[in-house]
Amino acid sequence: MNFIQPFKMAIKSIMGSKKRSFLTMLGIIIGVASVIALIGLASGATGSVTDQLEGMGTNLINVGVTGRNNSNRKVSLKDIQDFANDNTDIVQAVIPSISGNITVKYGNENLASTLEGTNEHYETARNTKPTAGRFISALDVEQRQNVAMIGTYVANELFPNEDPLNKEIKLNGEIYYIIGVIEEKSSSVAKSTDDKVYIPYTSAVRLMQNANLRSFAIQAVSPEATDAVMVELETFLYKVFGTKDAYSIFNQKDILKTLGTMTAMLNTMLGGIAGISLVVGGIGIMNIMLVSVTERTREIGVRKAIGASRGSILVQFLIEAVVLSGLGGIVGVALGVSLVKILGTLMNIKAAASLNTIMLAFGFALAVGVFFGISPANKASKLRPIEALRSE
Amino acid sequence: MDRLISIKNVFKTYKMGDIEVNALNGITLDVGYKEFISIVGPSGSGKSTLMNVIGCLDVPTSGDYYLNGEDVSKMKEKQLAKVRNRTIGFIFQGFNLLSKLTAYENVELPLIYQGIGYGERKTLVMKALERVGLENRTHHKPTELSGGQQQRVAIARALASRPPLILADEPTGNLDSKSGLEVMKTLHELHDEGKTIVLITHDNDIAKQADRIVRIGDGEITFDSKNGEEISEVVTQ
Repeated sequence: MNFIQPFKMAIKSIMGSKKRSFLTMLGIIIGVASVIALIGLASGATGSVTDQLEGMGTNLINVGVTGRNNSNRKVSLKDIQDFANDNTDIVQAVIPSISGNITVKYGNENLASTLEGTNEHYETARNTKPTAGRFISALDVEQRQNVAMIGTYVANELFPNEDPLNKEIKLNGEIYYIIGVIEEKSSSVAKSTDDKVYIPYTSAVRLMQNANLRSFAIQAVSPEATDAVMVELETFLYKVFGTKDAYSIFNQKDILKTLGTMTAMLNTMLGGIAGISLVVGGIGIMNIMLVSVTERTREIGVRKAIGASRGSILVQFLIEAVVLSGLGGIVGVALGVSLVKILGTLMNIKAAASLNTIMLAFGFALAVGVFFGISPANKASKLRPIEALRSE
Repeated sequence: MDRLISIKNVFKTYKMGDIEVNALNGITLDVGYKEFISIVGPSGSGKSTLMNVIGCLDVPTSGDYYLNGEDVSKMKEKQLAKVRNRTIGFIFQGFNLLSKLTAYENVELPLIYQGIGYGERKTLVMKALERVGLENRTHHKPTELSGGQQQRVAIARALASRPPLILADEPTGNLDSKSGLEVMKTLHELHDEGKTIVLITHDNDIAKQADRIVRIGDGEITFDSKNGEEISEVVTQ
């Protein structure tokens, strides 16, 4: 059967009543647009969280130590170093973290910031690169050098018009030399990861007068080895504290996995809700098509009298329903994609309508058109020509 | 095969509740090629049912009907559609043009269902519209045409697929006398050109213009001028 003619007829009949056709399509338009916009925004939002997590390194195990009430048991740097030496087959590096609040002073400018005492492994493990200068080296750590790297927020605040490299700053009164500026991690605002000063942990122990670790990270030799490292860590820390409540161990892989499951669930839910509106739109199409069949009974009679078969009437009305839902789908895709762009920009997230979502939403709209078009088309095709001709 | 229409002992029975009503009560009628025949009868006589059967819009309950050599009384809907498309050209009282389509598109419709390609279609449509003198009105919608013009578009549509049989159901019923005369003139011309014309009417003056008159009453043929009876007799009946 030739499908070009029925298409032309369908377009003609849709254009014949523009307002009604538009209102009929509106359900599909809103449905498709909301599927694309909701899923696009949701994946954009989770995408930026995932990016941040992945930026922290994927074979990294973070350990937080809260300690035990009424107890002096603690993990020292040496304990961790020993643990690493005992497990060289799976542990690649230990990244201690000695942190605290400090005052940074340059000239007459004062700035309250956060100190991070760390070592040379931080650069690769946390995927943190200096944009200028260099990172802390093993030698800096060994020799307790008074060298510091600063985040972009600190750099912007203290050195608005000059190059911070090799400048002298005072950390809680002690003189340090700036050897590097760390790349922007978030958006360079106060209290963010850019509001930080990094120094060798050996120097930090001295500066903060505290050799006990509140937190540290262990880099496994590979993402596959992280599970083994976690088991060993668990045993080791339990031996030290005697309770599981004194520490927490978590790795990025677990967080990413949980996040992935949540994202998938969120997408399914949002898609489901928007899908319901598509089905409602389809019912709207069916309703109008049924009315249209009744209104056009005489037309159907005439067409049958001059030789239209049941099949060609069926195809004509089915194509009309599909063209309605298809046009609605196209408008909906355009609307949805622009909504994602506009809302993504307004909400400052990297939202994008994926091709998969667009295809899914459009395909579903077409399927809805076929499904809800069948009943009216069938009704039209079954009209008997003499009765159809007799109707007024 | 010398007969276009050959109806033999055809019954059409409708069920109205428990009662069966014979709208056609054993009709036998032959119409030869190139005949011009009118079928007359009051309303309720079975005239419309007969037209529906002849036009393949309905199938008889029993009896045989051969149209152009084909047994159409036992055909399925799909084949009937094909017969209507190729063998019969319908002209209705109410014109029955599709209001959203132009004159051209209305005439084109049967050719589309026949599956004829665009180029050939255009030639046939223009030929049919020229035949009824409406070649200047091709892009007018029915509402932009007068009643007479609309009926001429309908005639062009009936002619477009070049069927041997023209089936006209009260073609002048909705027209003023002048337009009615024009339509009748066109039908005469078509007859002269070799079409078989079956004209259904209740108007004796119109019916008399045919070469042969058949009168229906109570689902039976009560009069057929072919049997030597004078046409004038029908008027007095």
